[in-house]
Amino acid sequence: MDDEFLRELSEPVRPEFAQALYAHLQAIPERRARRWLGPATAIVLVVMSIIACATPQIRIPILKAIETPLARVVGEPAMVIFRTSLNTEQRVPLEVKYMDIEQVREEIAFPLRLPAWLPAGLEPTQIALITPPQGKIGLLSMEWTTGDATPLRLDVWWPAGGIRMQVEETVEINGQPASFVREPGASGLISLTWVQQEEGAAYILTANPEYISKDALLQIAATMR
Amino acid sequence: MKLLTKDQNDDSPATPNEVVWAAVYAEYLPRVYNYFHYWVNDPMAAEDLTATVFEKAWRNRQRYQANLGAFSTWLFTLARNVARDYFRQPQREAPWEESPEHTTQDPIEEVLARRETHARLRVLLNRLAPREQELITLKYGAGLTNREIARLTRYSETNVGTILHRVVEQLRKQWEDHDGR
Repeated sequence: MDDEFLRELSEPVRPEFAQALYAHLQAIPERRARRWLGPATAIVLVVMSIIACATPQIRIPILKAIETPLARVVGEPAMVIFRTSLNTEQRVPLEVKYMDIEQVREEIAFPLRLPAWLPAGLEPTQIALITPPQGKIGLLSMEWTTGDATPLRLDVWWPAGGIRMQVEETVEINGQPASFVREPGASGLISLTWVQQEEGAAYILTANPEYISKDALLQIAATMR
Repeated sequence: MKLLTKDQNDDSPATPNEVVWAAVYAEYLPRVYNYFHYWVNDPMAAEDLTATVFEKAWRNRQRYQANLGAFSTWLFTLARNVARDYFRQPQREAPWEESPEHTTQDPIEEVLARRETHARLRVLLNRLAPREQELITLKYGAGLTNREIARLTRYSETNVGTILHRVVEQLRKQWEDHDGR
């Protein structure tokens, strides 16, 4: 495939800029890792994990952080800390696997619930999965895109023993009590959090209300059987 | 790249971290710069945005020396966020608009010919859907592989390859049609 013409817009970096930026960077102090940083960060992450399960506005950046090398500050080798109940935790090696839905179903130990209905125009992207073999603990994150926006996200955490739900409005999803939360501030993201008791997994469905209304979000969740 | 070598008057040995970062800087500076240059078509803005990304990366470089395999994903995640912030500002125009280039010492005929080529290409790119524009930018501006783009955008690698193939074919046909007139 002849695609050389598409490289026409590339241009070399001005040497003056490259040198000036390099000099500028050299003058910036590095945030050096300290010996206590690993354990301290681990403790912080445990606390954040508890909060994260409860508040979508915090949870989402954490998940995004886990998906990036930022989480490697936890230690060597890098670990993700799961709270498996209110009093216990488990460390899992940080290994984000990107896979399709069939691969996910083979990887985890319970039947994954996915929406049977979605508003038109949404396409699923790959699923990010963090779980050791046997799939008894882990989290997965999945998004649906319109092509130029990503208005819907599903996060599933298991086991759900450590979850403490933030309650703004209680609704019912598939016979389970669920918490509906609208994030304060400009983003105004809306989310539903509930625990499917049969498999002990927490489901968190987050949407951009510009694309998906509260009623539509409830409808989507209701089809996750 | 000369600027990445140690000062010749500096006899102290380079640490592994310095060496890694010198290599990283040499490899990724042009790629990040062109990622923004494809988006904003304004060399000065592209330099500012590139500097923002590298400053963020530099401040946190200690964290990434152990696993440079994922470095491009991390760095371009930063770059995409910086680009989003840039276009979120109300005074920003849509990407792919015409703008001046660097001043050069090249003959005026060459400069004009290059400007015409760039303008033609940008017109074609401007007709693409945002998702297609971004994939083209990541592929040809940032020089990422389909696998790297897939990791970054969370599309499957197959999906990235399919979309890029279709879009490039479409662009190539439009490009050649224009040449054939």
